[in-house]
Amino acid sequence: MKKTIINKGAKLVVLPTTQFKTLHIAIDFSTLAEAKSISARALVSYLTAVSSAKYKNQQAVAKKTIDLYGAQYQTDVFRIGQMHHVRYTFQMPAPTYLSDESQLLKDAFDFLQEMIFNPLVENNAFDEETFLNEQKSLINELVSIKDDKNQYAIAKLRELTYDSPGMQMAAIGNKEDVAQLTSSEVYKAYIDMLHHNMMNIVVLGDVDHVQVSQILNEWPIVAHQDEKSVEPFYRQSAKQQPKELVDYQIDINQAMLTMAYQIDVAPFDNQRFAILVMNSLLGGTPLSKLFMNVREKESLAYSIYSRWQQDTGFLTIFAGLDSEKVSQADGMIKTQIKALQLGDFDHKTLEAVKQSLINDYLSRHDSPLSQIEVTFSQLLTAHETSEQKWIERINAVTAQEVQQVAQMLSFQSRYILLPEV
Amino acid sequence: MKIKHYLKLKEDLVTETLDNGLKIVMIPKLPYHKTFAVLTTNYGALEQKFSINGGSVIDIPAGTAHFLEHKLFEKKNEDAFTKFGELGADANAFTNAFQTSYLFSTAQNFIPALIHLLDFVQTPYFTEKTVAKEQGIIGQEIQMYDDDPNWALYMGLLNTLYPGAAIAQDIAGTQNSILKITPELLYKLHSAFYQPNQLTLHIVGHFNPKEILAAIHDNQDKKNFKAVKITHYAEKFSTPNKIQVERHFNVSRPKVAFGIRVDHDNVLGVEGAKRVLIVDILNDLLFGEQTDWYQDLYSRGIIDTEFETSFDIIKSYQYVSFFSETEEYDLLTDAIQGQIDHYSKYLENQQNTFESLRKATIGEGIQKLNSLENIALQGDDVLFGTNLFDKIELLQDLTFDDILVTADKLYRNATLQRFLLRK
Repeated sequence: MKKTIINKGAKLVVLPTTQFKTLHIAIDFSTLAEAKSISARALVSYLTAVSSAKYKNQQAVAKKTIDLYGAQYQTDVFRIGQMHHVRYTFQMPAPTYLSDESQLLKDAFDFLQEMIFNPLVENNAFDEETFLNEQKSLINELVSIKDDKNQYAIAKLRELTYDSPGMQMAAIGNKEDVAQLTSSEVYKAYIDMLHHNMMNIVVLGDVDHVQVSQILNEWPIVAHQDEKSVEPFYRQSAKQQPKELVDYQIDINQAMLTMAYQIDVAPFDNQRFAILVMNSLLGGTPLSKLFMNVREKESLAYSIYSRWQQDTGFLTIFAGLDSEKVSQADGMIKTQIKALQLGDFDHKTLEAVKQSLINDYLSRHDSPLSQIEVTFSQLLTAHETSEQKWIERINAVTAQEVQQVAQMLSFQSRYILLPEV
Repeated sequence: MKIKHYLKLKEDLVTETLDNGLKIVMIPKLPYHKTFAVLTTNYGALEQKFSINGGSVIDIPAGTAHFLEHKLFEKKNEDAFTKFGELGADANAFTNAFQTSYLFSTAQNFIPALIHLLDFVQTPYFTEKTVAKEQGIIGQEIQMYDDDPNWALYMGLLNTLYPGAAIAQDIAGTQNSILKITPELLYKLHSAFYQPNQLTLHIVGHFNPKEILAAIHDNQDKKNFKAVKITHYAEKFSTPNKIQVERHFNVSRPKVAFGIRVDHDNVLGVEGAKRVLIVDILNDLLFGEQTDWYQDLYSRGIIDTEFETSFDIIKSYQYVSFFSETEEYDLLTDAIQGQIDHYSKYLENQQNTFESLRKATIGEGIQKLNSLENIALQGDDVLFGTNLFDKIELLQDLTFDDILVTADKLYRNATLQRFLLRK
């Protein structure tokens, strides 16, 4: 991976390829997730999605993206490990598939530069009318999390599981904070983002490094001091006593059962390969114990899966099920974990889930967004494992290693959402 | 083996129909790692009655197509799903109003997985016991959808437009309807709708067409199929009886859907694909983010970025729809109605905007071609016989006149219906 530093402030990686029919530009600002700034950063992402000094509203932005051959411009906020990200992404058809458009690449970068660096601002505050509108939109979004019981249960489990407020909060902030923010406070958060966040840029498509660097050298990227680097991944110490909560909601028929287990292992420990395999065997694939036994054999849940997060050290389990089956399913899930800990799984399934992991890994090459994501992750962690080595390590995982990491699972929290009767 | 070159898009389409009627469509994409295969029958949830070989009419309970899809995976000694997993392939299946598809993708073991796909779909195994078990599982799936307000909104709109019609019923059926399903019925449906001449196999990705074709030939030659003649029975639609319908649901903000039914104007084949492309641009001209209309509602907080419009042609069903989340649903109703009342005035002098939107739509079409799944599934092959490449070519030829003519068909004397979900 070839990195270039732009104006002492940003890292650039260009991924030249003709595999796809698109050009992608992604720009990422990341900083330690802190409860006091998350909501303001979410609002920055909303405001800069729909306005700039030149493109003053949604309509003007839409007109511009239409003129760029149906380009997609969007902003997102999310958290990886303990870092909070504001991400700008831009995608358009590769100029080679459009006739006579030599200027398109420059136009695309100019548009992004405008949206990121030239906001609609007056007296050190975002335009008040736009601000009030976007503030309301974000509040609406936060309120409607409750309408999706899966999303809601995941959010509640996160609150229970994490110790630090910056980890508990949704990546798009919370309603109370958003409602109290003023336009000038959000502008301060925006300036802070430009000046103090780690800034990474990934460009993918039929482009070359030199051409892209030349354009980006003209951008007003703020030079960064050599700030102390932050460990991007999150770890917390195990709870003595697991946390549990049961909620009731009207107008739902099915219950949600969610739980979090911790594995006390450093993010890039060699055991991470065994953990991936163990998660696949537990609930990460249709061959897994949770899927085969809890869902298929016993019909205790309609949907059930587990997910391992290397970036936080938690393995989480989610099940959608009938409310009267919750305690039975809960017991059955524990039995499945016990089985892994005792080495009760067959060789054939073990090999199959490894193949499936490798298949997923190789499939990432076929999606520009996955490739960009992988590149950002390498920039963030300064950690890179070659494809060959990754596949070798997965193939080398033994049943005994799977059993060992399963034994490290430590139950931390459980959140249950039940229909109100 | 026929090859069609789409020169501008740098894509090749290889097709072949076997003697038994199985249609194969292949799109090699050598720079990719994965290959994606999907086997599709044109049988979906809308089919309510059929007969075979001139026999008596057989009723199909709501939810049967989806039920059959689930059951096809279960075999005497194993689950077809598991075998894909063992090969390292990701498999799935889905049923919609007009098709049932079985699919997998993999970066390794492609041919064994493909043979497995053909074998499990073409070898039915239904028993009283497995049918009874499935009735329990699908019952839960139906409930899961019931909890989703967006689903409730969509089904509510369809029921307002087409009360009691097949399209307004859940694809999974109801707890009661699926109890009427028997192994005998499933075997009959399978013999009719899963015979080779009803199936199309799409393969997109990293493979060699000749090698794949040989493997398919080899597999199909070993099997015997009895040709079955199918008679379809078209559904008669009832007239909508309510302009506005409301349902109480625990949503934090009201969700509203609007629809306009287009009747007596069936378009088939390529004309259908073309109509959809035209209406998508027409609706962008009238309601898109770049319009004053949109900006006005957006800045007054009546709509937000969740607002969307859609146009569907599904067999004889044809409807425009609008979706939004808003407290101000009455104002939004007036705004949409106003735009429809004045569509003809509004479209005057929109030639330039049309040109920009046409180009943007072509650009969006090109962007979709990155995904093997999109190429295999989003081309409207089943409904109109077009693929994603054809759609881009159709867009090249659209004119502003097409927009004006179609606008008259849709919006002159249109009736706007509304379905509202609120606390």
